[in-house]
Amino acid sequence: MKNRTIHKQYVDDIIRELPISEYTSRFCEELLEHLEDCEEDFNDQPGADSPKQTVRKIGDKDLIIRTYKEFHRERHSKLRRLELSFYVIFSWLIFFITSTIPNYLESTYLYSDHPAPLFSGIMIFCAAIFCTLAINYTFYNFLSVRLSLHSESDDRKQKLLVIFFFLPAISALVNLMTAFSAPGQAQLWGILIAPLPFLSAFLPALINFKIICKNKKNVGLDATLPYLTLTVFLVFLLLVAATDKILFLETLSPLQAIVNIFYIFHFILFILIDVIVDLPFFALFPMDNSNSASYVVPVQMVSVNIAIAAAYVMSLGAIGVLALRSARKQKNLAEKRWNRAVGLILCAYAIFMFLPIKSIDTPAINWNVPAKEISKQIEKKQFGIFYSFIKFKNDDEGYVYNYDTCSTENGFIAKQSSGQIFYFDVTGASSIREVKTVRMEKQKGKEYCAQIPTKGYDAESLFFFQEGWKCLDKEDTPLPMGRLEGCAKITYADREIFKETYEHSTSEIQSIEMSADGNWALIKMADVYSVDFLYLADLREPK
Amino acid sequence: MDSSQEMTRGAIELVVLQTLSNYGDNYGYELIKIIAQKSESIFEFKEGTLYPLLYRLEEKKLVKSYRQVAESGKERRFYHITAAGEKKLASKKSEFETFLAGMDAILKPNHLSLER
Repeated sequence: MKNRTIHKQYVDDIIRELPISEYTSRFCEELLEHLEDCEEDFNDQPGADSPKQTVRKIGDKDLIIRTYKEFHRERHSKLRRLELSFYVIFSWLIFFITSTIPNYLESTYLYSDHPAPLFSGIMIFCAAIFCTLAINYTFYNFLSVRLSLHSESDDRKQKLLVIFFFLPAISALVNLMTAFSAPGQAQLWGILIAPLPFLSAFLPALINFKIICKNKKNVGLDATLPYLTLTVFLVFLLLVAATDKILFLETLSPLQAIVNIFYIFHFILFILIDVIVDLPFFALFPMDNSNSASYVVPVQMVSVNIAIAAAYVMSLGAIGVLALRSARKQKNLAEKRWNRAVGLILCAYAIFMFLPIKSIDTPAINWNVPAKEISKQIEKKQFGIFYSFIKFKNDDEGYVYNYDTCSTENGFIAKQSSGQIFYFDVTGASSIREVKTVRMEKQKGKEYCAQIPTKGYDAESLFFFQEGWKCLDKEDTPLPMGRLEGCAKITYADREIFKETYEHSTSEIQSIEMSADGNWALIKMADVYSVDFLYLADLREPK
Repeated sequence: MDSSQEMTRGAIELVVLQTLSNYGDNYGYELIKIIAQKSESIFEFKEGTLYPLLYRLEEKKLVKSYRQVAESGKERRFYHITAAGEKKLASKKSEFETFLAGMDAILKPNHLSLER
């Protein structure tokens, strides 16, 4: 029995290093039979240490592995050459596409007034490189698995590489989609395509595992994880297909949760890289607290990044715990070590990244009346935990949900640039909390605000003040980047409604709509990137 | 792969094919025993390296394999030389004999003295 274990261990050590093909299991079988025959011969010789001698006679592990690999390489040499040629040609093609198109769009439209085209160029360049690597690596991985060129130990390294290449790649893809899509659609694209690289990275691994499982029975977590991922992905797709309500207010939180799992996974490395790439940019524009752009923007970028990373890392932490649990059960020492290392790294990372969560900055307004940021409320419901990230992306790239507003008999209507229309019913509301938000049918919304265009906004819009409203202490000095001609103080009927500090005056009033009874106001503000903020204010005198 | 490795592999392939041709179908362990015995332990290579060589021959369709119960009562994978294998063996043998004759002719001391 003991001898058999020694033989099994010897053969296992060899097989683990071998490329996987139809010969692998056969080789394993024949080596074991050979050892058995050899041992029987030694058993006939008195005083011989048969297990050790048997192993010595059959040969050094490295030599056997080398010989087998040589045979394998030779067998696939022609296909491998083809694969490499494909890899080289395809990598340049992808690189060209991913780097040229966004750069073109950037220079012509998106960043026409951007102070640092070099910076955005670097960002796109990095995204393109990662995208190229990721897509190519999939093909490489896929073909290699198909051609059975990898050993089990190679496969582990591959899985890691594939996953880590895909994290930034998805952000590059989302960037592309953002560039091509109208506001709102980009996020939908992002959500829908997010799981695809994940799937494409795991499919080859899945095929590989099927072969491994055929040869070896105990592969533990490694074998179950891809299956699990695939199942969750399919369930997710089914749910999306069934509900088709990703961007609607009715979106249910469980669905959001499922979406989040996939969506978040792919952004982490992009976020980390984003922060790293951002640093030289901010080093070029020295930090100065009197310059709101160099103060607000980096804080906003870093804090949102950290928040998203934290959410992502919670998922990583879960896999980490799973890996640690699996390590406890594993009998094979190498597998045990591998799972423990992965588990510890993931858990430590999850804990570390989870600590400093901070939400997105909004205009620093001190209200003197009860007010609610309605746009935030709507968008938060639409995007769930992606809200901060999407808002951040929108702020940064100039894509936003803009709103057109008008007042009706009983409340206000806001048309979102996504095409959705919201109605805020103030009838009988004794406090701001009681104001009902309803998503209207488009046709009905059009009837109410026929004069308002359904999409887009007027970038040249001027201050529009209704009777009784005053803008005090308006800043009219030349403004640095990131600051607008904000009103330091806004009054209505000589009553202070809100004030903004100069240091944070990054927003300007776009319009103010009043309710028929004059008790309520819907105030639209925009920041330096033309992000709209809608505030509903209760103007009634406090009782 | 350098030429000496190529030559060694060619020689081993020849030895395996010849053994299968002379002694009939056999499995790995027995093949090694026969080769070691007949070559008076000159061809005593590391046994684990035989199998990749057999697979290579099988890929080239020079041998084919099947599972059968051996004399020991245990099931083993037997290798059988194919017609293509026999043909290859004949041509390889001829090549090798020519090679050996050439080497022999060059390495003989009297041949060197004649040249001088």
